[in-house]
Amino acid sequence: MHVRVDGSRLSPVDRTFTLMLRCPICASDEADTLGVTGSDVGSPDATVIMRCEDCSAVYLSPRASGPDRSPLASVDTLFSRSRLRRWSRGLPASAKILCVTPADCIPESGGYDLILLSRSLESADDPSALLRQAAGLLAPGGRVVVIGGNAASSCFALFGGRHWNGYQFPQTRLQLTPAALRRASTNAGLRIIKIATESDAQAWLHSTANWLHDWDLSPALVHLLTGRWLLPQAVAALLEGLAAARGRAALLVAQLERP
Amino acid sequence: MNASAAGASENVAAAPIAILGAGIAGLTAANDLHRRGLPVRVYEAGKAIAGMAQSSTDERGFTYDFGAHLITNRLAAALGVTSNCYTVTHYDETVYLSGRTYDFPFGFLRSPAFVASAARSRLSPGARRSVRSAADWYRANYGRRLADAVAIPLVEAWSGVPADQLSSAVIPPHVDRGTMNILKLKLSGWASGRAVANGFSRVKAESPHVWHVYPKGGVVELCQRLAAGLEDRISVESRVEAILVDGDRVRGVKVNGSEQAASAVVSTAPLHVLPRLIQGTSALNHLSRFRYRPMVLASLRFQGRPLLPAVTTWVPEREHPFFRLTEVPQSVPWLAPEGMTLINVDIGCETDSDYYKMADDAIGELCVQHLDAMFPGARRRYDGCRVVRTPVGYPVYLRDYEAERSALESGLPVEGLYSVGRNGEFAHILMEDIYWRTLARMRELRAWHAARHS
Repeated sequence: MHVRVDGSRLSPVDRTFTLMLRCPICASDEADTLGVTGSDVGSPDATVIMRCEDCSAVYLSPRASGPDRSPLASVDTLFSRSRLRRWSRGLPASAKILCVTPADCIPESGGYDLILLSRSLESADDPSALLRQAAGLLAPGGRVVVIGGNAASSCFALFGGRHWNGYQFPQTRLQLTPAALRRASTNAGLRIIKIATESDAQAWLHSTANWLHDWDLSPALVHLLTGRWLLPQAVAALLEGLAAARGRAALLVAQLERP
Repeated sequence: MNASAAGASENVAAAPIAILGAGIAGLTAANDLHRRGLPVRVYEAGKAIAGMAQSSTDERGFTYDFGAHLITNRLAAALGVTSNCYTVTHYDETVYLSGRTYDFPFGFLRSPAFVASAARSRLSPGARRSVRSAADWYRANYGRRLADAVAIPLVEAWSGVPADQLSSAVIPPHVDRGTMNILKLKLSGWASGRAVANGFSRVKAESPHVWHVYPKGGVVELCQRLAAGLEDRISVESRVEAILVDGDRVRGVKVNGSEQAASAVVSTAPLHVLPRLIQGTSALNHLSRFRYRPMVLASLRFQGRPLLPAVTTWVPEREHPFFRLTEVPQSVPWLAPEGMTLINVDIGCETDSDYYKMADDAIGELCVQHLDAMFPGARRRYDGCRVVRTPVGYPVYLRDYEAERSALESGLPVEGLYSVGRNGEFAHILMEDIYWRTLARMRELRAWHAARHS
């Protein structure tokens, strides 16, 4: 005799949840749990934050997919002029450059001298495949620059259990660490030129704001403590400066090369 | 290997993994293995999945759960059922002693005698070095006064044996996680307005981000979620009568009189049952010594709310038949109609005792008589009860078999046989730990399966 499970008793959920069975970088299924997070923190949708015990990548399981899969906020701020200048140094004026943000589809034809992946791996269905795809689009000697949140940062150590600003639900599926990025690069056949961290004081302010909102503090108080005025900005800059001095700043930047 | 033996071996390799029991452990195992492409067959003796995790609601609006169905938001998130859960905003515990109540754990600081005794024990590290039993552990860590008045009577009521016969492994690891950690969790619960879970997980870290939630419809909802997609692989009213073993390796199960090949078996049965279930090996005979404490669980209805000083009240004094009272509607108000409440009473006893054999109404009367003495007015407000009895309430961590119990961590000595769940693991674990520990055990099974059947 077989039982029928009556799915109609379950209330409808806004999103489809898919259990992430393995680490999206190294495919290991040995993982620890760091905490629970959700959309805008505190909403009824939630997911468990897992840290891969093998490569240390942080991924969200179950993975949520919803109708409102909009581009991640403030992507463009990561491509500041100075950063773009730095990464494209030495390239000829005719160099082919591709910027990939989470909202973009990666093109099929290649020959690029520089591909910029900004927070793209974090929201990709298969980040390893995306990096391999990017590698395949490079001209010989071409480079990929990966930029995103650093799950080995001091800010993440404090807020990674729930309020880290890099968790942009439901788009974000992954947060990288230097070790995880190293593993992903090797798997994609890319040579690592440099993996470093860069300061992002806003990570402290946004994460703190997430925390205060989650604990129902009044918006005025949240603004007072994390707004764009001198004191909170200075405190955040100080904290991020200390973290950067220890190599644990909030942004992770990798320069990779096609051999 | 001859041709027929080789054929039999191939049949076993292609056979599904048999899972005994469609409770949360069995369904977690089935769900995990199925998602990863392994064939499974779940056998459930009862008429429906979830077994004792089923909740029932009477015509007046009282919902009866077998045990408190509080889970953590982490487990709800892991299963993708968060939006079907209510956030619990309040949970607290107290200890009733000599007519006074002490908030747990910091209320004991009000008693100079308890504080002085605890301080003395903390200042004599020698006591902690010579811990051989649960009684030793409590006296060394809490001080003799608090241990003898509270901790030891409670663990004895829970287990049914003197605490000096119990292994110190009975003390959950979280108990030893430190005062500062408890304080941090309590403060974050207060600040966030959520019932932050403290002492509800042995295997996952507690944190301000992990709090109690209650699934709408109770724990059965988790079972339904886990069973989704497995409908054709669950057989109800299918009692497994035997686990068949050849040469210390599982080859199948006998269900309703017919033999079914199985490449592996995942059991959720109480461990002391396995020696009777298993055919073809004596490797598990030692498990028949393992004991479980039977429990009588009464749900008493009362007018008015609240009746107790906290959600959970521990009652260590042995003059009372019960050791724990839980007024769940203080945390989960919708479990009782407005203006009424429900108190779950835990009575530890043996199956041949008077308590176990007592009629339901008599159990209710007995409990009310004691409750009225503790909390005057309880009798006047009493409105009847429901009673459930289980012969396998909690595993008893006897020192006699501690070596065999701790050896279970590395698995059973029969190839292809895995035991999961609270009774199957012989462990004091709650819902979330059952989930994570079952997943960990299934990782072992998959690795074994891949090596064996590749």
